[in-house]
Amino acid sequence: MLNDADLTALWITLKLAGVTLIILLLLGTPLAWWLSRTRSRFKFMVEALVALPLVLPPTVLGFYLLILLGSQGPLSGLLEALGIGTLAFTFTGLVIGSLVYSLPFVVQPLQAAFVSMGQRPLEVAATLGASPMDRFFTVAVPLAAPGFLTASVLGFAHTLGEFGVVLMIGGNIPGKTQVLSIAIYDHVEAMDYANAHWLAGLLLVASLLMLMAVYRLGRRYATVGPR
Amino acid sequence: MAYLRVLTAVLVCSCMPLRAEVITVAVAANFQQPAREIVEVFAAHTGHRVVLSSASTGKHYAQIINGAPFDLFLAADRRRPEMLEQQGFDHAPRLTYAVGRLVLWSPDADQTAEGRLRSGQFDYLAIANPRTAPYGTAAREALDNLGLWQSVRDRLVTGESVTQALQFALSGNAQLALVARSQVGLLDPAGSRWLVSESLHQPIEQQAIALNGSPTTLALLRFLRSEESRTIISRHGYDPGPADTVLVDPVAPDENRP
Repeated sequence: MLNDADLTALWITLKLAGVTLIILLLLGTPLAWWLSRTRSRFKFMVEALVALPLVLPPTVLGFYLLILLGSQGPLSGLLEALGIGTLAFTFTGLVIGSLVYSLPFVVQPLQAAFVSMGQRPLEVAATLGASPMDRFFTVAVPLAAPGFLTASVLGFAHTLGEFGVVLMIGGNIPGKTQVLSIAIYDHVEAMDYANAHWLAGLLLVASLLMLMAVYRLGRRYATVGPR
Repeated sequence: MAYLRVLTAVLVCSCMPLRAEVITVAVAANFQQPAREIVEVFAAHTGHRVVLSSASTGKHYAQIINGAPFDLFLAADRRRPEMLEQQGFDHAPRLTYAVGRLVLWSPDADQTAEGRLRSGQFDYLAIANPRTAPYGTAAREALDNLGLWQSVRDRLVTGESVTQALQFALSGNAQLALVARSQVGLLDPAGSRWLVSESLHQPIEQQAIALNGSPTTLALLRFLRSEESRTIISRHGYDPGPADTVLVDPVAPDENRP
């Protein structure tokens, strides 16, 4: 069964996925909204940057973050001035890495949901006297609910399975930066296959359940939804 | 110069066996560079071609017990070769071909690495994972014997390999790292290093094991003990293992073995 260290790794992983998701929803929603409405000629650049973590190997992201956060890195002066110091090997560092790593999984479903609702419902709301804020929170957000659900589950699940980035910047500290995937890797490398099986199986079942929830709820929205 | 090269080629060709063979060697990632140089010399002497496959010893072990087509295994520890020997890979005695040395390295030359460790003036000390990597185990033993393990424990960061531990320090995220002398030798002289005494940890023995009894495989295994190989091995920062090891040819290849 799971030992104490594995349970701690599980808790760190859930905390990391949760914190990352909340921040990504707060940052990703305005970004996705802007991308769905803008006519800026720089839109394609922003879209490419958002999609970049999809195609880059996570070890590349981790490697650059390690250099960026390091004491010779371009951010070190700023971090020192703010009194933050080294971010590598800390939970905050992992959150920063995960934000980059899972960004497209939150922004893209939201952007698609905002685009597919079209301008019409918002224009109708405007003629009825709704302010821009009102239109966003009482019309756009409810209409984009399936998008929010997909974004949340994918963002959470993707962070849950994160490996390459945390391997590079985490330092494998139990109780601080040792997440589930790293614990599994250690068990396999140490040929402790029994423990590896428990953790790997847990991650497999949890991921499958979450994805099933997305598709099941997604179908209900599609049949009962606005169109 | 040109005619000399032709002459050498003719001489080398003339002493080659009629049928040159290709043998595949699984080599520990940390030993890849010296292995490349050794097999180059071996190939020049014998005419056989050697293909190197580099990975972590844990991964190679898993591949070998699942039937990977390697002829010789140059491991990063002695545990995995021992386990393979118990599973029937006993074509020739295991051979300690290199002994690793532990070095404490700091990217900052203002203070000696040793002084920094003893005075505790650092945020993070990077080591390889003591549970999975031989250099990590040695690092833990050394810290234990220095009486520092308890006091540095909460400032330890562990890399999956000794290479990653060094990377943590090279990028400036860790101020100290316990790594391999073979790696630090490749760095330019910047930084400060302290060679950890051999008496502070179990020897980091890297062992080789033959995975079949073919004459070419055994010839390469024997060649690891040659003076030429030993020179290459020490130049890369390893101790070349006990010189008195005598490798005898197996009396007859065992026909019953698959």
